[in-house]
Amino acid sequence: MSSYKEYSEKLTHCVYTMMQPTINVEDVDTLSLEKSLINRLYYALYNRIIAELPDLQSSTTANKHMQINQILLKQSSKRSIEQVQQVFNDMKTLREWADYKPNDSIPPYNLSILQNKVYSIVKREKLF
Amino acid sequence: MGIKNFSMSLALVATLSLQALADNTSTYIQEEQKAISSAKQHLISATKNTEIAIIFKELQVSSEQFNDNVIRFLNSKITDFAKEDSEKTGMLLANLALHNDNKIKFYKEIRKIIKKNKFSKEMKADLVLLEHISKEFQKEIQKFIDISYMEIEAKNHFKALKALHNEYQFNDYWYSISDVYNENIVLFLSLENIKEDIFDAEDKLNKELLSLQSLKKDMTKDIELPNIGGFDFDKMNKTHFSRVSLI
Repeated sequence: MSSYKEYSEKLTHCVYTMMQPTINVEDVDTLSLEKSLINRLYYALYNRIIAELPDLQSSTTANKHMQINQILLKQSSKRSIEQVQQVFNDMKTLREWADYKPNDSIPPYNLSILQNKVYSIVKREKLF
Repeated sequence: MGIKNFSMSLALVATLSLQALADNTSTYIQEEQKAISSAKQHLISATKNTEIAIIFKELQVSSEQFNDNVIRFLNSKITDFAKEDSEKTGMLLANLALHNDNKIKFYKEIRKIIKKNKFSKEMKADLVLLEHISKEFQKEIQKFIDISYMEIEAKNHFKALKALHNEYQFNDYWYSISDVYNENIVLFLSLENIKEDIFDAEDKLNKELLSLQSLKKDMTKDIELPNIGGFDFDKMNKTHFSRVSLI
C-alpha cells in the first residue's frame, strides 16, 4: 500500500510545485502544461484509491478505472466514500477532456481548487 | 442549374461567428432547395434521367462540403454558439432539421418513382448514398439539438445559482458534451476562490440544484413539444444535471 500512497502524494506535490511562480514555464504552452497537471492529479487520485485495493494492484484486468468506480459506487452510501467517487469521476471527465478531446470547449477550471480537492482525499489516513 | 461551390466561404467560417455560419448555412440550404425543385420537375416527366443524375451528383458534392464545413464545425462549436445565443442557434438547427427532413422525404419520393421506371444502376447507387448521408446528418443534427437544450439548462442553472449564492465568485460553467446521452450529468462550476470547505459548498449548491430541477419539471410539464419530421425535442423537458462539481 505505501508505495502507491507515496507515489500518489509525490504526484500531488509535483502539481503543487509546478504551480509555484518560481518555476520558469515561459517556454511551456500553458494549456498543455495545465492538461498535464490535470492528468497527473487524476492519477494521484487513482493511485491513492488503488493503494487500499490490493486485489486491483495485482490484477491484470483491462479497465481498472471502471472497477474502481464500481467499488466506490457500492460503498457510496457513506458520504466520505461518495465524495471520493464523485471527485474520481469528475477528474476522470477532466482528464479525458485533457488527453483526448482537443476540439471540445475548454473547461473553466481553477487548478488550485482541483489540487485542493484531490489533495483533501489523497491525504486521508483511510478511504474505506 | 448548379449548386455553388461553398467550400471556400464555409472554410473561412471556422474562424468567424455564429452569424456567419448561419448566413452561409442558409445560402447552402437555398441552393439545395433549388436543386431539389429542379429534380422534382424532371421527375414529373421522368424522362430526363441524365438531368436527375447530374443533380444527384451535385447534391452529393454539396453534402460532402456541408459535412466538412458545417457539421464538423458545429461538432466543436455547438456549446459555444448555444452559450452565445441560444435563440439564434436554435433557429439555425431548426432550419437544418427542416431542410434535412425535406431531403429525406424527397429521396423517398424518388425511391417510389425508381420502382416504376428504368433508372440506371449508378443512379440507384447514388440515391442510396444520398439517403445514407441524410440519415447521418439527421443523427448529427439531433445531437446538436439535444446539446443545445442541455446548454440552455446549464446556463439557466448557472445564472440562478450565481444570483442565489453571491457569497461565491462564480466564473463560468462547463459540462462534457460526450455526456449528453448519459444519466447523472455533472454541471461543473468554476469559482475564483473558495474559503470554506469545498465539499460543504458543493452540498449547499447541490441542494439548490435539486430545487431548480424540480422547478423546471413543474414549468415544462405542460409544454407542447415541437414536431419536425424525424426529430425529437424531448430534451426540452428533461432535467439533465444531477449534481454540481466545483472546479
